Amino acid sequence: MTTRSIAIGMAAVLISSGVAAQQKPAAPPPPPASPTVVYKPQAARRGGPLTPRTAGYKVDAIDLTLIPGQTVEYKFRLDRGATMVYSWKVVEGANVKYDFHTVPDGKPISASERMEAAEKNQAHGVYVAPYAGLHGWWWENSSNDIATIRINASGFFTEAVMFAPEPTEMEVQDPPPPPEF
Amino acid sequence: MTPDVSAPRAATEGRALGTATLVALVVAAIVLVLAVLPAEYGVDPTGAGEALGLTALYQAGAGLGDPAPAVITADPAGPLVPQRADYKVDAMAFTLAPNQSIEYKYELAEGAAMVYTWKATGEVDFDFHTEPAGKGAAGSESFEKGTATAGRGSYRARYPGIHGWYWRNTTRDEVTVNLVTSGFYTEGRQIREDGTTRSKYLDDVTIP
Repeated sequence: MTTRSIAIGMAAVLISSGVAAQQKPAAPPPPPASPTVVYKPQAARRGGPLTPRTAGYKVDAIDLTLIPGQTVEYKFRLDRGATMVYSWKVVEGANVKYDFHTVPDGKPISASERMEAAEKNQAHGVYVAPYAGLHGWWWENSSNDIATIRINASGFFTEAVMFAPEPTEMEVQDPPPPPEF
Repeated sequence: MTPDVSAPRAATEGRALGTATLVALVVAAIVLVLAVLPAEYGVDPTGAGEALGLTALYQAGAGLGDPAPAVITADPAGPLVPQRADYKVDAMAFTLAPNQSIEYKYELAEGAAMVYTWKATGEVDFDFHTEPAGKGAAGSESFEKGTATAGRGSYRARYPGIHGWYWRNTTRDEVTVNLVTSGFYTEGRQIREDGTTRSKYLDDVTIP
């Protein structure tokens, strides 16, 4: 939107300066802002590989330690179409049971969907929320020893909620600023 | 002669039916407010859901109290796309003189995704484009172009190659472009105006 209005503004300046030059051919044209032509904007196509977002980009990292038989859930609040990338792995202990499921906003819990389930010690992936709500994992330490799960995620979530089993809102961070290259 | 009682009897039955309907509706409403809303929607106006332990059913979500099938494989066309290894993180800052440009692209396999955010201290022209593996610049596609001071989004590569941005400083002052990304790439590649390149091999994501 901003991009388009800026481009139109720049085009209007060029057209008006062109008109002015025709009326007063003796006057030298003002030096252009840049030696190249106005950059032609191209909006990202819906359904294409690139999906722009107007706000956000957060990062989160947490270690969760489970005693034998204990369960925990950790989910991210994502709007419809918001994407996150994630990696979780057991950094101490054996395989854990898990599922990835949703809690859609404004719908009964029976509308929850399970996207993946297995018994593993790590999983990585990308997720595009099909609707607004909470989206994330349930884990169970099915071993006889302590298990520590390390979760990392980056993307367009606004908060994280841990259920152990009472819900706790977890703050997610802005990414650290880049170093000069 | 028996008196005709059908009319008053029908009236009585009608009244009884009406009363029964009303009672049923009231009971249904009470159950809805006290139990269904807390358990199914997490809405507990009376506090009874909390007292009866029903809100816990909602909070627990699908994970608890509901025996999960041991293995569900993610639908390849679904919203969750598993990847083989850790995602990587990258953060870069490029300072550009007036009219200077730079390109920075990531090596992404087919289906690999990333999320990104960039901000510039002044207006820049930008072009998100690709160089498909084995085709180079000739097979390049642009997915978004414009003039802006920021951009954010997600990207999923449809073919292997390098995928990223061209930025040019359109102002008369120095501009710094700050880029932060996370994704399933292996390498970042900076391409300068003179065509020289510099590769950056990226780290796995770690706890900050």
